[in-house]
Amino acid sequence: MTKKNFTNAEKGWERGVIASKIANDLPHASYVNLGIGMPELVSQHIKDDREIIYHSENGLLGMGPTPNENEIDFDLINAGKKPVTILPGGSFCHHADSFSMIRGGHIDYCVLGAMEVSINGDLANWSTGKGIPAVGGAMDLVAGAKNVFVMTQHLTKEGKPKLVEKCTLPLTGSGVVSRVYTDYAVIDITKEGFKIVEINENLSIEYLQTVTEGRVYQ
Amino acid sequence: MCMAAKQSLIQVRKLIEPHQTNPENVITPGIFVKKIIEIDNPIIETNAIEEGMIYP
Repeated sequence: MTKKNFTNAEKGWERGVIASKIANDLPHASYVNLGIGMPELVSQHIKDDREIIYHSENGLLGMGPTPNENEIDFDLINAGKKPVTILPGGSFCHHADSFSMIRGGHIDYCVLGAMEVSINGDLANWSTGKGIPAVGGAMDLVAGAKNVFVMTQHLTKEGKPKLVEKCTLPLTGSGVVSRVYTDYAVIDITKEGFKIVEINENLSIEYLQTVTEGRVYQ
Repeated sequence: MCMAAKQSLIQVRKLIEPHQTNPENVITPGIFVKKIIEIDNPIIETNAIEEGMIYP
């Protein structure tokens, strides 16, 4: 769990609030891939007026919520290796077919976490440059999905901006991010800079600029 | 072909209610299907040609 207790940082929206903002922006009947971690929360905030079809890159379309303990089946897991369920109308497919869905541009939205997002939409979200983790399906997702949403805290644990002029970490994709949802604001990536779609009601644009590298505007 | 095409129009003999498919039986998931037309008694080309049908 991330604990935000660095100095000078304002308290932003809770994770559930960020997740519900994303959930409200996903249209009825869209095909969506949610990244491991914080983005998984989005599925808990989908309103009853719409059906979202979740894709998991290990070969599942129509993925359902976490099963009850007595219904866990380790042959039915998501890309994060966690037990899931399949909803009526869902289907299983080969790993290669699953990536055909991604690379073929059939996934409407993917929601991913981020370490850095640059002003031109570059995303770094898989490696700090050291250690074991590998990029997984994220590189395919950002290249193939029609819309790439990022869900993240606005600042790192050390209090540094995650929205930057230029990424310093290895990229997941170049110029791929459409919109960023942080605890401070909802921001579109545009040619003119970070465009504020919505700002946390407790914060000013001036403050947002001080915690963001690169021009923010409304 | 559905996977490659920008538009896919599927002719089916029987259109069933949503959510009624067995997940193990699905060959082409709905994500690849854009349009569906139901024709319950389609002309079978082989039979039609045997009966003398010719393409104009």
